[in-house]
Amino acid sequence: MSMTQQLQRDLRLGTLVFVALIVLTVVEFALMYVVPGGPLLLALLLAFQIADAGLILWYFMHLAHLWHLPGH
Amino acid sequence: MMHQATSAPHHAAFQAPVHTPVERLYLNRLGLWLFILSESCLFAAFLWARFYLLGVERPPELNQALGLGISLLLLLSSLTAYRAETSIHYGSVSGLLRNTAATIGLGGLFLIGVGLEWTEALEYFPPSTLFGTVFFSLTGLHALHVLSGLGLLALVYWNGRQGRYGPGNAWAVEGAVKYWHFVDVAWVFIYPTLYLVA
Repeated sequence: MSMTQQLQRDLRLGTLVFVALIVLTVVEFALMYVVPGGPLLLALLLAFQIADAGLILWYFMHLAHLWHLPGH
Repeated sequence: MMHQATSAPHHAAFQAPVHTPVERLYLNRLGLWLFILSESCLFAAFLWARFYLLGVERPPELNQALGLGISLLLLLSSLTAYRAETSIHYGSVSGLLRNTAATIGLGGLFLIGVGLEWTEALEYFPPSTLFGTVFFSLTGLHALHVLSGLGLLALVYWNGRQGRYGPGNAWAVEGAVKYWHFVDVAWVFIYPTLYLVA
């Protein structure tokens, strides 16, 4: 795989993660109108927050790089 | 003379550790992650204060459309920041500059959105009210982080224009972009906590 293809592949992955983040955020917003307030809404929102943060930490912030030295 | 005689062996005994570039990169990353962890504790304390002081109470005057809009803007800025970092790792300076500029622009728009929200908030729940205290503290703390992130990104853009970054020399880009993503992660928790819980 050429370098340009690798770059395109990585950029595509970033776009996919972004789309997932947008979907999660919009669903979160909709939950406020659909689910009555209380513990259920709180639990659902927390789950969505963790999913959002997890995607950013893993794919955008490359958390895994902390355990993998380049070239090792 | 006496002082020189006693301090010389001390200097001779001290050997600064020599790190390979790979080890240095690892230590830089570790240091940044520890910094992010400590910053997360600060945000967690502020978020906890919201529930401690107010429970899940939320005023109906909150501008929901604006809240969602600025959240989407910040998420989009994370994508452009990711694209900037990815571009320089593959040697594309033009990609770095284009995407860093876009990130700065989106971050600026986010701050304008927060300013608009503050204008409305001052009218409905000023800082003297309990919700106002929580709202302005959380969004203010976050806006300060956005501002410092914009400063870092502006520095990256400036240095990028001077040709100072390349595939093997992109730690500054990586560090600034990671910090920007952290600012986004903080908002991912702040937005539902202020706007959506009920």
